[in-house]
Amino acid sequence: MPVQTRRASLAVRAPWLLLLAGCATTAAPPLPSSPDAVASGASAAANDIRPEVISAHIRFLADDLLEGRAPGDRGFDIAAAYVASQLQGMGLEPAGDKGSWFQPMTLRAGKTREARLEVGTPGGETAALSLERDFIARAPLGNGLAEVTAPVVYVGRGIVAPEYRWDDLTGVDLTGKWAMVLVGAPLGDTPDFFPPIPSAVYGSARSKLERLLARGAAGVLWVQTPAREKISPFTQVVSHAQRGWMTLVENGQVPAREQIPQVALSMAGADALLAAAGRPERVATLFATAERRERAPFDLGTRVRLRVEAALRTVHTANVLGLLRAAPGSPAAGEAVVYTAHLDHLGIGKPEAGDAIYNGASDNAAGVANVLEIARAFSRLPQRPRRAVLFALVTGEEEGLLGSERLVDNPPVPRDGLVADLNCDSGLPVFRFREVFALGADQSTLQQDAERAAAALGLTLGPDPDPKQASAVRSDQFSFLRAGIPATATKVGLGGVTEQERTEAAAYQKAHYHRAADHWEASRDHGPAAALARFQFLFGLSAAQRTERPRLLPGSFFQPRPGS
Amino acid sequence: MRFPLLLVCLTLACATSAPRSTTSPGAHGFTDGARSAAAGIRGDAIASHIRFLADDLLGGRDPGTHGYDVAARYVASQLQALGVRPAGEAGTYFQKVPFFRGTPVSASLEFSGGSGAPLSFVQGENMYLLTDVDRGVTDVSGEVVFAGYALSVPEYGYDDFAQVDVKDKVVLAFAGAPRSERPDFFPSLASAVHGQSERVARELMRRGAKAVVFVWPPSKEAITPFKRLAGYFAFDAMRLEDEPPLLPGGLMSVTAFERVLKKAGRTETVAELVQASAQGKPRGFALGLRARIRRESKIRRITSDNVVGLLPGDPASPTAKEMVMYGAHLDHMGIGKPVDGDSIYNGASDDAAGVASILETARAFTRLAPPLPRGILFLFVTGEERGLLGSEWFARHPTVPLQDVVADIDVDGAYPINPLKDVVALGTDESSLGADVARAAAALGLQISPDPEPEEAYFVRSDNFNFVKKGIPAAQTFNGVAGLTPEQLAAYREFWRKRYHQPQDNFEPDRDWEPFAQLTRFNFLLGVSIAQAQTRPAWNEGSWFRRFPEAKRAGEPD
Repeated sequence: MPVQTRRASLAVRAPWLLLLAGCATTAAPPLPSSPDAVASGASAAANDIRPEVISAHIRFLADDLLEGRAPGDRGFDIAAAYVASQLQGMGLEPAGDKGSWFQPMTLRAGKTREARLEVGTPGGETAALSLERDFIARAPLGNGLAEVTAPVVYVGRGIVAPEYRWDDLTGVDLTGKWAMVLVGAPLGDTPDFFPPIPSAVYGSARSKLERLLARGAAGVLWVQTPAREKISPFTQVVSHAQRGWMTLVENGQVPAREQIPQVALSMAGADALLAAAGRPERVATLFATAERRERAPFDLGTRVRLRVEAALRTVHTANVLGLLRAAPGSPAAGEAVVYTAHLDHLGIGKPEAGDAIYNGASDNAAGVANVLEIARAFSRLPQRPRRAVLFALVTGEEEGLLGSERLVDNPPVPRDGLVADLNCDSGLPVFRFREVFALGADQSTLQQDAERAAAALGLTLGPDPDPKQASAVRSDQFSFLRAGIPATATKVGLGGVTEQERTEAAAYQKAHYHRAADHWEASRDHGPAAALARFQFLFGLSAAQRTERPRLLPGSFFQPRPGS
Repeated sequence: MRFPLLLVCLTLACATSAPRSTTSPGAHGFTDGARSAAAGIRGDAIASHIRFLADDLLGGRDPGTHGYDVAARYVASQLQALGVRPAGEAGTYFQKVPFFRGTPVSASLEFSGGSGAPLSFVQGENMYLLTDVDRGVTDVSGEVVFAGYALSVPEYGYDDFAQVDVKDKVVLAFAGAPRSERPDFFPSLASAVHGQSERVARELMRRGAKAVVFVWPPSKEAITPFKRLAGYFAFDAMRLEDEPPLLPGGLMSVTAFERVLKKAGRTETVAELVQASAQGKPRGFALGLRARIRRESKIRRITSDNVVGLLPGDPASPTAKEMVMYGAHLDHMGIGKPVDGDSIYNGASDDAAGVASILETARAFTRLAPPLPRGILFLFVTGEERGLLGSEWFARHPTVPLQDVVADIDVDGAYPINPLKDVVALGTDESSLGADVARAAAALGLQISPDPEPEEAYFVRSDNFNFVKKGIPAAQTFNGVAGLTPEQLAAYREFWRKRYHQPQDNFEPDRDWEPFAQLTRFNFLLGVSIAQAQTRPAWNEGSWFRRFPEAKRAGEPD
C-alpha cells in the first residue's frame, strides 16, 4: 500500500496538543508534508514496509510450533533466534552480551501449589474462602512459602498523591498487618486530578506495593473493583495466576516487592471476607466511597490467615538487541532511540475450545513484526540518522515488564544515551485507521515527533481512545518512563472510524486479547499493520534525526521529584 | 549431501587440477537489472538464515520432529515475506510427504554350514543390517550365493545372473558397479546409476531373492571406511509410504566377507572377484552356507513437508508457464550419537547453507522488473539424508506440471571459505546448461572447475537425480577450491574430514560469508541465463542421460 498523501488538518487536532506545543521551550519545526521532509529517503523506506512481510513474521511467531512463546520455553527461544536472524539479515549489529544478539537474564517463576485463606469471625470461628472463586494467592518468590496470620487494615486505594490532595495512608499503622487495597486509581479528565497517565502510574500494583512495603505491611489483599472487572475480569486474573508468575533475579535475589505474600480477592471474595469479619461494608460501598474521593480507612477487627506454597523454578530467557549505528561523525552518535516490542506471550495454558496454545498473534507478534520492518526501513535509508537506533525485542512483558526493566537497568549503550523509547504493543490494527495516538508522548518532546510523523503521512494525531485501560503502565514503555526516559506507546485512534469499524475492532479485541484464539489469520488484511509501522518508523526517525535530544517536558509527571 | 565421500586425497587432487578458463568478456547477456540484483546479494543475509536453521533449537532438522517443522515454517515465512507465491498443496507452501520411519531395536546376521562353528556378526562391527521400515520384525534364512555386483546390463555385455540363480537365496554382492574409462563398459555416471544399491535390491527382489548383503568393496573402503559408514546407518531409516517394501538388506566389510568365504572353503580372493567383474566376466557361485537375518525395529508413520514456492514468469512471455527450479534439502540428520559432548547434528553446511543461498537467490529474483520470461520454482525438500526421499516424492507427485520444469539447480555440498575463484557445476557438461554456467561464471569473473571427484558421481547421488530421471537437465553447484592458501586448504580439508556429517557441522558466526554470497550470485545468474533463454535446456546429443525418462519396469513405482 502506498503511503497516504492526504493532508492532516490541524483544526481537527485536540486543543490540548496546541497547548502542549506552547509549553515546549523551543518552537517545534514546521510540520512536514511528506516523509522525505523528516529525513532524506524516508519516503521510499516507508513505502517499502509491506503488509505481506509483516504478515509473514506474525505467521511464523504465532505458529503453534512456537507454543505461545513463554519465557523459558523452547518456543520463546525459537522466536528469539528468529528475530536475531532477521536483524542480522538486515545488516544490523548485535547489541547483546559479548557481541551476541542476546541479553540473557534469569527469572524466578512461581506457581501456586496450594493456598488457604481464612478469616476470623466475631464469634471466634474461622471462615475459609474458596480458591479461584474468591481469591488467588501468590507466595513470596524468595522461598515460595508464606504463612501469615495478621490483622487487616482497609486503606482505600492505598495511594498517596499530594499533588491531587489524595492520601490513603497517612496516620494508618500498617506494620505487620495485611493492607486491604482497592486495585487501580482514580481517573480524572483535568490536569488537577489524576489525569490518565498519573492515574495509571498511581494505580499500578507495582507502585502501590513499593509504598505499602515501605510502611511495613505484612502482605496485601487486593480487592477487585467494578471498574477493573470491566477491563480485566477476575476470571482472567485467575487464569493468569494458574500460569504462575515471574520476577527478575539479580545476584540471586528477588526484589523486595516479591518478598511479601499477595492475595487477589474477587468482588464476591472481598464481600465474603468483610461479611465473615462482621463488617457492614461491601466492595460496592467501598468503591463508591473511593469514587466520591472520600478517605475512610478502617481496621477490620479480625485476623486473616494465609498459607500459600508455590513451586519455584529458575527460568533463563533473553532480550534480543540489534543496533543501527548513528551516521558517522554525528555529534549525537552516543545517543540511541529505542524501539521495543515484547516477544513473549502466555505460552500454553488452559484450553479454550480445545486449543491450549496462546499464540499471541496480536499480542505481540504484531508489534515484533512491526519493529522488524521498521528496522529494515531504517537499514534502507541512504544516510543513517543523527542518533543510533536500538531495536529491542524484549522478554517477560506478560510477567511484569521484566525484560524492559532489565534493559533499562543494563542498557547496551551508556544509560544516559537512552534518549527515548517507542514501544510497539498495541495489538493488530484491523481497520484502515485515519488517526493515531502516542500514549505518554505528551510528557515529552516526543509529541512533536509524533505530530511530524502523522502529518507526513496525512494522519491525525488524536487522544487516547480509552484512558480507562491505564495503558501507560501496562507495557514496556513504563519501564522507560519510570526511569525518567521519554517514552511512548503508539496506537491507532478511533477518529473518523465508521460505526462498523469500531464494532469490528471491539469484537476483534474481545475475541483475541489474551485468548487462545489469538492466531495469525490468513484472510486478515495486514495493510493497517503496515500503515501503523510506517507511522512508527517516521515517528522514531524524527526523534533520531532532530537536532535536539528528546526530553521530558518541565513539569512532566516523570521528571525526577525530590523524595521520590 | 547424502553421502560422506568427499575425501581429502581427492580434494587435494581437485585443488591442483587446472580450472577451465572462461572467455567472452562483456555483458554476457545479463541486463543491468540482473547484475544489480546479483550485486545486492549479501553474505550476512545468507548467514542469518544458516544461523537460524542450524541452531540447536532445531535439533538437526530431522523429518518428523518439531525442529524440522520449525525449519519448514521458517522457510515458508521467508518465501511469503519475499513475495514468492505458495506452490505446494491446496494453496500452501507445503507438500505433505508421508513416510514410514523405523528405529532399530536389534539386528543379527549368522552364517552356518561349511567348516567350523556358526559365524555371527554383531551389528556395527563389520556388518550393518539396514533398519527395517517395512515389517517391524524380520527373520529370514536361506542358502547363500555370491553374485558379483548382482547386475545385468546387456548394453555392456555384463550379466551376474548367468552363472547363479538368486531365487530364494540370501545374496552377497559387491556394492556398486564395475567402472571404466571406456564408453562401452560402465563409464563413470552409468556405473554410479547402475550401482545404486536400492536399484540393485529392487532387481534382486524381482528375481525372487530373499535378502541381500552388500560387500563394501576395497575401492569404496579406501574412500569411506566401513566403520564410518556404519555410523550413518545408526540413524532411523525412512521410506516413502507409497514405496513398495524392499527385501531385507545389509552391508558387510571386506574383512567379514573374507571370513564367510573362508568358512565356505572358497579359495578366491576378493581382488580376484573384483577383477573378474571388471573384465566383464563376473564370477558367481553358491557358497554352500545358510544365512539367517534377524532384525527388529519400531515403525511409525510420520509426515514431513517439502516447501515449495513460485515466482511466476512474465505473463506476456510465451514461456511464462515454464520454470527453472532451485532445490536444496531442508532436512539433516537430527540427534544422534554424541561426538565430543555434542549430539545435535546441526547440518549448517548440509544443507542449511544451500537453503539460505536459495532464499537469497529468491530475493534477488524478486528485484527483477519485469519478471523473466520463465518462472522460478523454489523447492526445499525433506528426507534427503534418508535417501533423497522428499525429492523423489515431489518428482512422483509434483505440485506443478513437471513437464514445465526446464532445469534443476541443486545447491548442496558447498563450503566456500576463501575468496571465490572458481565454481563447480556438476552435470552441466551433459547438457546445454554448460553454456549458461559459462555465461554466469564469466559475468562474475569466476572460473569453472571440473568435477573434483568424478568417481564419486555425486551428480547421480543427489536430489537432482530424481529430476534427471524425469528427463530434466540439472546442475549441482558448489565452490571450487582454486586459489586456496595452504592454511585455507587445511581448513577446508578439516571440515570434510572432521565436521561434515558430524555434530560439529555448526553455524560459524565469525566466518567470512562473502565467498558464499559470490557463489549465490553465480547460482542466481545461472538461473537468470536459463530463464531468459529463447530455447529450453536440453541434454547434449549423445549424452548418457538422454535415456531418461526410462520406460517403467514391472514392479517399479512410477
